[in-house]
Amino acid sequence: MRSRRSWPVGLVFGATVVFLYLPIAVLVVLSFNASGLPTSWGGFTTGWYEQLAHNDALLDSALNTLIVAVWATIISVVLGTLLAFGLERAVRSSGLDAVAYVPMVVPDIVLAIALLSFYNLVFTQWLGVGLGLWSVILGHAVFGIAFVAAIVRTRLRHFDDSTVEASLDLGANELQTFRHVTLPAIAPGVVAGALVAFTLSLDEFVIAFFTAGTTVTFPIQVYSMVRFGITPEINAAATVVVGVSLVLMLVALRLRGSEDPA
Amino acid sequence: MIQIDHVTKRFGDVTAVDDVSVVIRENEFFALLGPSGCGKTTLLRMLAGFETPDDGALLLDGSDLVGVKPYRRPLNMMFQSYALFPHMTVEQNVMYGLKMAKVPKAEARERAADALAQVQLGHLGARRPAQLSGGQRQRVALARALVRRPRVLLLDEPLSALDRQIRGEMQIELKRLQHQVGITFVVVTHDQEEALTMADRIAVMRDGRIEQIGAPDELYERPATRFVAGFLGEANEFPAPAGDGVVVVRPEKLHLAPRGGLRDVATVHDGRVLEVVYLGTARKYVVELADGKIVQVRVPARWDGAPLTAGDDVSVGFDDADGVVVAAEGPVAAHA
Amino acid sequence: MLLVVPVGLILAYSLFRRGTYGGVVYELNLDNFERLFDPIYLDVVWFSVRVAVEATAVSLLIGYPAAWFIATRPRKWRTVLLVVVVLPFWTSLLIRTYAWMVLLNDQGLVNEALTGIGIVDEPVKLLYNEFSIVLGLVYGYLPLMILPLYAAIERLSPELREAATDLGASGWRAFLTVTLPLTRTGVVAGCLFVFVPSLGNFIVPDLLGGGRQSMVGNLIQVQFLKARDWPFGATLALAVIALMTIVLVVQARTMARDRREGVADA
Repeated sequence: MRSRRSWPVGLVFGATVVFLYLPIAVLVVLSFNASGLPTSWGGFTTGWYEQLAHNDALLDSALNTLIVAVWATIISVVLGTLLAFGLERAVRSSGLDAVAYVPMVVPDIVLAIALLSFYNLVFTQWLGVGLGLWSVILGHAVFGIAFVAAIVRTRLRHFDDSTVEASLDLGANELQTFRHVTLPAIAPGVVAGALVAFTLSLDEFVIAFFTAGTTVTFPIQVYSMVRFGITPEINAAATVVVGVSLVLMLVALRLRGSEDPA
Repeated sequence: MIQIDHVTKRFGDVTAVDDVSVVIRENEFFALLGPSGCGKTTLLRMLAGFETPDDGALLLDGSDLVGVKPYRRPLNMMFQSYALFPHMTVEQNVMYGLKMAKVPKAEARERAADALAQVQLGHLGARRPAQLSGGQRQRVALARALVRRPRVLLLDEPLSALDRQIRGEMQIELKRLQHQVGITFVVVTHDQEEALTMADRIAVMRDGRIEQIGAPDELYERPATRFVAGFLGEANEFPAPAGDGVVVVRPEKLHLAPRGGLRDVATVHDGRVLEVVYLGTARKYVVELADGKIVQVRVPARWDGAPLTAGDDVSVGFDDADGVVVAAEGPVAAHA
Repeated sequence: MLLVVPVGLILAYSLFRRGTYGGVVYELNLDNFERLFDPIYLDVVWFSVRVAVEATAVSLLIGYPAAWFIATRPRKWRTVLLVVVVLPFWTSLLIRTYAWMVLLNDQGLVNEALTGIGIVDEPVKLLYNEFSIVLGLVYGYLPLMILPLYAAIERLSPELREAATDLGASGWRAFLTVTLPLTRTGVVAGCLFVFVPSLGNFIVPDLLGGGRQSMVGNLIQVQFLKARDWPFGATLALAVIALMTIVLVVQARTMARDRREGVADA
């Protein structure tokens, strides 16, 4: 059964993988292309990266993005974990359940304008506060929380509750039990969630675009550059982004893999 | 000595434990036996401290445990799922309770090693629970509970997750361990064979109440109710001579012979063999009596001699001393 | 305590969503909804739906065999293969879409290859049309299609297929009548994961559509940031949400049905 059907399927799979990686590979290669053109190879160079390093606007935006990502991740992890516990242990409502997943499913643009309207209403008109990095941080936190909660919930579900009782039975009070038994069990999930939230925030464009006000994040900056046209410098920037994301995800996977065989 | 005094526990509009009173003696191997939902696990959990009774008291050597947190009670529990901490090694698992009791590390290490040796797992200290077999995990759970030297060990369905073969070995193991450690064991089980094998005394529970307490042979030979009779083994029912109730006779106590062939037997009924089941150690004859009732007779298997076969007309009888009269009301427990 | 925070969070969030209602004048009126049905805008909405459907269909066609392939490999390969497929997804959609801009334009690699091999004489207009948008969307969300498909296929016992062929179904028929229906939840989930983001997508049509073809996402952006007509933009968003909800309801119904029939587990 297997050998008969597997070759055309294997072909499709192979083609799919090529399809998925080709564009990225092309970008990476081109970023080292001295000619700057996609079609002719002018020799290997790191010149474009040097140019990148001197692009102050881009570097500033990169810093902004980093700030946003760090803060968004912190908020997401804390509130997301709490949410996961709340949903799994305390609240028994499928309605609340579904709402917790909403930020993940909704198209980012809908989220973006919802946030913008909310900010405008509450902060700009009522409190008189302008938009800035903080608004982006909150926006990223919204879906970050959803992702962290989802990931931690899965871990909680696999968590054997009786180990908590065993710990209490063996002489640990509630706090000690949390520290020694519950936390280590969910830690991999929390870390994975943090990495997911961080990576998503780094690359996030749409929400930032709508809610950043006058500040600029890295994706926004790249977007404006792209709008002007394709330049080799963008290739270099793109490669950097890809590299960073991939590294982060591989780290996340290493952590996940080493913790549970499940 | 544990005294369970008029304890009641309700969950919503379900009464899981209904005004139960039991005294469990010092160094006793006590079993709470019953079908699922009878309240035995709830009772155990109340002793451990994970549920609080709505009424009544739980006295351990005179002092009431109700309201005392699980980590302050001198009882320890072995969980049905073993509940080993997956992120710790076997040794760390066993030492956990000692760590919480602030025992110095060196002493804790030693005691843990002793506990593991006691359950024949001395060499597995560095392994993780995921790497162990079911039987091994159970022993770690035992060692972990016992290392704290509790006054009472509570065991929740200790053998249910094990293979048949290991189960038999573990039954003997647990009994030996209890003697060796010298403390009270309270076991919850739904398997009557386990209870009969291991316990000094058994409390049979149904729907939150205790039907009967006694030594295994007492319960088996002299069941107080129809339910207890049926739960502990195959129970054949015959009409009672006085008219109220039924007479319960165990299959191995029934005499079986070709029609008319029984002498010196007090009560005899005629019937026909429906089926013969060969069990290795014995033969089980399913006989239909004249009044339509079905009884099972158990006869030790012999290689020689012509056994009866399906379709034969037979006589089934029993001596007065072997029959027990119980009330005819109440459900008949399905014997596994 | 653990209860209050998450609940508060969710309440706050639903406040956001309510914030998209009403006109700037804060009078409830239905003018915006009428405008929505104006052919110009309807066209855009219809185009968006069509594109999203195309992207979903293509993803399904490619994704199913790919997921099947992974699910039928030896166990230890499966995680690796999954990682390989999913990894690109974690890089920025912006960047990946940009990559296609590079590849598909008139001087891009694809055209060079085509003219080089001699299939065409002139560069083909690969960019700034429906084709490129669908391609970009498929590229962006294919991994999201493969994951749930894989999960559903992997859960399937091979014995079910064998039973089907034992009872006389040919390989293809066994697939259609047994495998496909049983992986229905995975299919629905995968389609959902592709359809929804595609419908409201902004980046892909913007970069690969070149402003010539706009989808709902672009329209919303225009309303909000350029035309400053927030209420209308909000109305458009509601239209998207409405469409999404329909799809979600269908998905939920299918899942419930599967659960009842004992096909899927919660």
